[in-house]
Amino acid sequence: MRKVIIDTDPGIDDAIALMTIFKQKDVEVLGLCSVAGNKGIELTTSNASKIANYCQYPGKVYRGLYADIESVLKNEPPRIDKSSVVHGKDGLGDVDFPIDESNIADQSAVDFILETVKNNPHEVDLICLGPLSNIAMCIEKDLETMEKVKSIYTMGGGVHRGNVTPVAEFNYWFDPAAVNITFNKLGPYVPIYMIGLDVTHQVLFDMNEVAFFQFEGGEVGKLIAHMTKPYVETYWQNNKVLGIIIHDLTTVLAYLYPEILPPVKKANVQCVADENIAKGQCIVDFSGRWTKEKNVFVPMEIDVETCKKIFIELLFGKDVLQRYVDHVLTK
Amino acid sequence: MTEKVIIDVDPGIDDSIALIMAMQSRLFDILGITIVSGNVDVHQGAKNASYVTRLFQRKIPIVKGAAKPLKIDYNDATDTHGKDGLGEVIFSQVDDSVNDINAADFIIKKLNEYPGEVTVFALGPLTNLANVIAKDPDALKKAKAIRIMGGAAKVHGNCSPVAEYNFWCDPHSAHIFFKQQYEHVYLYPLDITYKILLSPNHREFLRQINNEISDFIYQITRFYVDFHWREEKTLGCVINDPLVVADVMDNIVDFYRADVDVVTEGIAIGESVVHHHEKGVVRVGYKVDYQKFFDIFFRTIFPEEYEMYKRLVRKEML
Repeated sequence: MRKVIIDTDPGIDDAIALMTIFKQKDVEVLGLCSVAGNKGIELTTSNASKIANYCQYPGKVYRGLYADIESVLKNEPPRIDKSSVVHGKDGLGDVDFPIDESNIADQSAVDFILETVKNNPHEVDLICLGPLSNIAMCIEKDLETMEKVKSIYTMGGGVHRGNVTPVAEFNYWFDPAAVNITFNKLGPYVPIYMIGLDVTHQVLFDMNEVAFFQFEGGEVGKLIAHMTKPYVETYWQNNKVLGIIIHDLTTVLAYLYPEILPPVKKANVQCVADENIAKGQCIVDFSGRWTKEKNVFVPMEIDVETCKKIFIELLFGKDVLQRYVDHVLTK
Repeated sequence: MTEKVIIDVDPGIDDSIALIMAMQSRLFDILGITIVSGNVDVHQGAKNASYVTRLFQRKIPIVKGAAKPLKIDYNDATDTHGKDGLGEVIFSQVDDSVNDINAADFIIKKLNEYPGEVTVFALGPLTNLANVIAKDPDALKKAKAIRIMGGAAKVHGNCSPVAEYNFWCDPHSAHIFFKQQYEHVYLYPLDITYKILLSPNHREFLRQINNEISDFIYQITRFYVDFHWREEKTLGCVINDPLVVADVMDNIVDFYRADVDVVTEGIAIGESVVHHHEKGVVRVGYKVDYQKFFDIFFRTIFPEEYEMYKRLVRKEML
């Protein structure tokens, strides 16, 4: 049984990622930690709670930092919400999920992560689907404990592309200082996998596939087709693609089945934290020009077909996968 | 030089798209749209044709023809096309059809007026053409060509294992038509129209084009897509009829020669029996360039979006 804590800022793609990982039999999700990102902390916390209810997840949701780590350390107010359009008004594509916030814990996300890692040294993986603020705060509080994290899969960054600016991806742009703390302080001890836009953009579910989920995916399939409508608009407007890219799902699948990633190169990665036009850019030194120690594994390729098949089988079952192969893939 | 055409049709979702293509192309001088009972009855068909021509502010004579098949009871195809024939989103109430002439007489009149010049697109059951033959067996010899969507040569039918809807709906008319052994008959059977699949990706692109025509096509095909998945596990909807129009524009279909007859009774009723041989009089389509069809489709109907279309094809998204 793999033990994992999921740090998340739901978010439509977070929601789909969570629904999927909850189905994986050999993975125990110890808890969900919320973090400010796609939406403010109140909304991401209640969204995490809603998704947990919907999936009948028995664990708790732990409230994370209300803002990027520097703002929190300086006691400054949170950033304004930058992503209202992408994820719908409520961050979940304006779908009615069951509301019951009794699964939100009193303990903070930072305390929960530190306590859990301390009690299970070298056993706990972290999947980080939002900004790395909580993780960085844990490191600042207790580096020694965080060195005993087993692995980290973080969705963020990009080598050759951005999505909030031409060079910056949202999660890392939101809290670049947290990225540098995590990569530089934990990199020497913990294998960190950065699942950036170069990888996530390869896994495009086109509208044929979305229609298939709607037709064959039962309640969840209809929900996904409905929930991702704002995504369809965004990806058309920004990228001129017909379909949806579910970044966080790809990150979860890469964690669950690392064999879908071809052999991965390690590199020194730094995030631009300066307030200039490159803010949030993730600089990946594949060629070693900086001669700094390599701190992060940076996959650039993914087996798209296998990735999609794994997702469909996990979320919808074997029969639906067979129909996908027969009626979508082969045509 | 424009090509004079009469479109004999039972609109119908894919029929309406064929009408749109023909109207948007500069290639055609549409002398008239003659309506036959098929997908929907002749009255609803006339209303739907009126709705579509009004979308383009075009004044094309719409002429009603046969209300039911020659000999058998009439079965519509509203399970496929929706109660109103346009995906249950339009429910057209407008009827611009003319009162002073019926379809068969109209066709005869135009063929006599422009001998050797008129192409007849027959996109529904062949009842109107059978009525033309009853009145004047030589009239259709004056057509430049007769291009028919119907039949299934070497693939399963869509109404029975062997029968395609247009011929199954009125097998006697089809039988009579092929008995005449007219020259210049082109048949577009399911074998090739099956390939013309408007996918959810195409539909999403239409939605993003976001003008009156793209919205119309997007809306009317929703019902059709649901039907195709439910009945055939086909992702997207087959749009048979526009292929006939596109082929005249750009020769995208390959034909072999055959003699064709249509079964009028028994379990094989409506089956098109295609006897493939070099001296056959009918040209039967067997191969189509699917990608070229959609190129013509978008180029013709949405010329201002054609660059984007090509870009999406290059990215293998369409």
